Amino acid sequence: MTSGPLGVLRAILVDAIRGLRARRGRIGLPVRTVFAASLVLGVVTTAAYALATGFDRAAERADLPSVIARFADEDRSTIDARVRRLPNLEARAYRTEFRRVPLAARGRHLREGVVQVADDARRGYAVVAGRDLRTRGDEAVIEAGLAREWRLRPGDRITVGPLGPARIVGVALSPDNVAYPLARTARVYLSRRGLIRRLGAGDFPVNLVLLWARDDARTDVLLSQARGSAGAVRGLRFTTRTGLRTLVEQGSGLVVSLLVAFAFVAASLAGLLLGAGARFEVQRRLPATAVRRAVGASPGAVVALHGAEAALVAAPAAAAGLALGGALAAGPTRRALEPLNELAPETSALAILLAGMWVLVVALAALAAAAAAWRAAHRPPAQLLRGGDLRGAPPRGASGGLALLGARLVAAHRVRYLSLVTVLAAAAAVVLLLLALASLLGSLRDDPGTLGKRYQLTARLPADRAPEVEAIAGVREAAPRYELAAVSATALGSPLRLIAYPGDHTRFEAPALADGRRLRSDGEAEVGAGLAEAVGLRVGSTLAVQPPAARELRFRVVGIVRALQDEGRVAYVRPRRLAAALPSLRGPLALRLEPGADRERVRRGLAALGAEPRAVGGATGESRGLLEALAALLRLVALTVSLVCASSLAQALALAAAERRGAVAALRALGADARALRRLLGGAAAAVVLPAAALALVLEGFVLSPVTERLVAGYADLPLQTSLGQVGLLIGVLALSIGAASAWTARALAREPVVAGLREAEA
Amino acid sequence: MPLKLSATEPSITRVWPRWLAADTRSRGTIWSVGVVCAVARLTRVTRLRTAHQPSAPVLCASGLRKVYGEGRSARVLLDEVALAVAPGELVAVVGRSGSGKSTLLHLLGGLDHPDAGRVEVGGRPVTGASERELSALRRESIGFVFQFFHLLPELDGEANVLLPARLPGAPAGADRRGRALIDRLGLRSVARLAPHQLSGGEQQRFAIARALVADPLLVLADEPIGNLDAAAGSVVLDLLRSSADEGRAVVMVTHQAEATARADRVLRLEHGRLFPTHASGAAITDHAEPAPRPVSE
Repeated sequence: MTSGPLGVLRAILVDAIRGLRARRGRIGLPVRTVFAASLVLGVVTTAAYALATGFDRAAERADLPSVIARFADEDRSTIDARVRRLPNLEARAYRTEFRRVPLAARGRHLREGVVQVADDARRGYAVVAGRDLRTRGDEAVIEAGLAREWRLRPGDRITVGPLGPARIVGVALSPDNVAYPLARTARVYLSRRGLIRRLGAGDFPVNLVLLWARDDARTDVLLSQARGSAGAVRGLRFTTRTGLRTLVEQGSGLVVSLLVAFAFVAASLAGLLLGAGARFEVQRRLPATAVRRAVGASPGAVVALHGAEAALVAAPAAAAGLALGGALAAGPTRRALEPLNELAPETSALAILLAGMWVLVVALAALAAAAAAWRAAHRPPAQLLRGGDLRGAPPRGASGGLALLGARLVAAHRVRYLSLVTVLAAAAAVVLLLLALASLLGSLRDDPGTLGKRYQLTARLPADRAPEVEAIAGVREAAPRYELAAVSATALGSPLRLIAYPGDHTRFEAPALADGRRLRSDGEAEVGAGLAEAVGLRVGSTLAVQPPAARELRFRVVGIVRALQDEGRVAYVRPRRLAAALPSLRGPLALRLEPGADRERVRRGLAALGAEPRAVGGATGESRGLLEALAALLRLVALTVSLVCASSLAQALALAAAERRGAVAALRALGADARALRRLLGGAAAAVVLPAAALALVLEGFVLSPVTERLVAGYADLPLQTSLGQVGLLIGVLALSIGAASAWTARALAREPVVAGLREAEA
Repeated sequence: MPLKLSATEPSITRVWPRWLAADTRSRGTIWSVGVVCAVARLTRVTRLRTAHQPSAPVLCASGLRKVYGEGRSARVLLDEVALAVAPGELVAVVGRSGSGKSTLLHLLGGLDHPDAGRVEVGGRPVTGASERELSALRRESIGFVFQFFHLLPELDGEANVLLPARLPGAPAGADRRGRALIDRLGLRSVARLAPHQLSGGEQQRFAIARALVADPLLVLADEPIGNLDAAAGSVVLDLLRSSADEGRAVVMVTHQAEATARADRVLRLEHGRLFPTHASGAAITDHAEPAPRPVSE
């Protein structure tokens, strides 16, 4: 016989397995509880991990360079002479990029094709299907987005502009841009040597160089030196890996943040479910615990037994829940990552993560059971035998119907009752949040306000007619909006857009402020994160802008904003300096409407002024696919949380009914029929649901919504407000749940022989 | 001191011929019980208790059979059991542990289903009735007293007694009767206490009061003093006796000799069948009793 800790552990496990076998008919409820909690965790963990790490994974696999420099065509040797002297440089690769190359395949056409002629060993893209280019001139590697959209595979042929048809040999992915069609252009890679051989021409000039830093942490040294040594290189634009991450993840960052919020809520929900389940189980077995204690078992032995049993029950249920959750989330997550040119995690990596979650869930279940058992084991056995869970005298009075009795039955165990209410409230609060988010997803697609634009219409009218426009019923305010394409004067021609409003621009456009403050004077600028990254701007630095056919303008950067327009390469300024430099500057009037304004009436008012209104779109167009994929992901999370919420109530009733099986059997022996049981259980359910609904409203309104808003504030302006309709819907669903759960549980109870419940109570 | 629960009906105990249950192994006797029950059904004008014929049996059971398990492990717990109990009669069923006493009580009260046989209470069929009909029957005509009381720990003593009055379809006046019972049983001072704050005797008195709230025709008591000391047990037995004296039929399963001493008839359950004992108050547990018979016997 083994002695020592291992022997003790073995004895505990054997005892636990024996106990579970003896009560195998009663472990369904704890199994379902753990499964539900694990399902939510599986979905949320998988989606959050995949989205949060998608860029890094793709960048790693594609061997994404630290810096990508684009410039006007130059001789390769000229550029190489400058590049090879750069500090902290590990490797370099030259490309020639041809833009606006028509592409055609399988009857589909695209005018905005981009052909990159590659040669060097390091590519900066990952081949995800087929093989890489060799030295043949008629081979092509196409980007994954194009392959997906046009249903192209290696072996198919694609017509590349004047070069004619090429055989697709591989499909590549590079996270240096979002995928076609989210990006308007689609990339095709050709072999430099093959092309030279095919065309019989000399070497091409290069206009793109990929730089790999030896130490990524010191990329800024490489970048500043590259800027310094650029000399007369024209049209130089740098993109860094860090900058790409910022830009590419701006879209998915919103969802990642939401998922992080969900993960937090789901983990809390799971913890509460597990804790409540453990307490139910320990409570139910108080007499057995009392007997164990009475015959000499130590509190430690009781705790160990309960912990071991809970772990044994939780282990398979958690594994199944996490695996199913992971499998359910995998598809929508992959679809959300594809437009971003990001990669879903390897199955093995996900399995390791889910295995970690499994350990966590099992440990949590064991700890919850052990904690509940610890409290029970330290009470006198006699108290446990006499129903020691009830403290003090019961509520006075014997009046009231069965519904009230049900409420009293469920509320008599105060700690358990509060746990149950809290669990349901948390679940219902998440559902409320999801309802608000569901509305928001529509807004994100169609409402420009979500993305920081607070005006709904524009009208081509001169600025001095703004007061007339404001006089139209339904128009809150109107102001001219100036938008001007320019280039950075300091960063060698980096393109940008200047946007200007007279006065406070946040009345009309308020992209989230990432750093610094808002504009206060004419000489200040708020720059988009994309521009700040590309040009190396920080709060306090100077933005030098070269407008077309005008003198250079300078602004002091006072804020960095997360603008989504033009990949964040925008700057918000006051119009005075622009107007001074460009006297002919004109812009349409931007109209901010009253909430619920009659757009038709506004349109008629504008028509009377001689202008046709133009609606401002949200993240429509190319972004629609991405948003729909993200919406699908959120809907999946919403569905699982809603299912868990609905099943929590049914489970809570079933748990309560199972626990009070003896009491229900006694009631039935006294003559209670299914109708009476329905009333009893309906009262019990209402006693849980009504306070839970109230608590849910408070939780959602004062905790979850503000937290979610803060989390996503860096990406979008999300006024998460639960409408009366949504609250009504929640109450309706809860009322239905009460009825359905009561009827279902009463039906199950009425089918059971009365003696079965009596015998169990007497056992 | 025995408690007189009601003086509205005369005591009609001992009016039922004892020979009816004298030897249930006799096919003739079983047939006789069946005929008596059938005659009782035919002569009953209405199923309402108020119209119940005083001389007709409240409880009629015949040919009851219950088998537990299947195949080779199947054991016959009850076999061809017949029993008729008249109004005002207190019948004690004795037998060793595992002999099927509680099972018999459950079958009589419609809490479990027999494999064969027939049970009627107050002329209403128990066997073959739907769950709804059984619920109504239990609510209106049967009162249960359990060994472990089965008081709801969430309710105080009074609320437990009034529980049947809260059920849909509860007899009129049950609420008032329940409060009167609490007073008459001397439980008023402890009526607001939780079950775990009561003594075993007090809990069982509350349980008996609960069983009588609906003024049932039949009271079924399963080991009512099994968990009580002698003094508390004596009070409970007095209550059951009084209940029978009020005109109810009472069937009590017991181990205790002091319980059989209060009974009008004592039947022994042995080998799955009921036998009459020679005298009430006899020691119960000194009879050797073989295990239930396998089905194949």
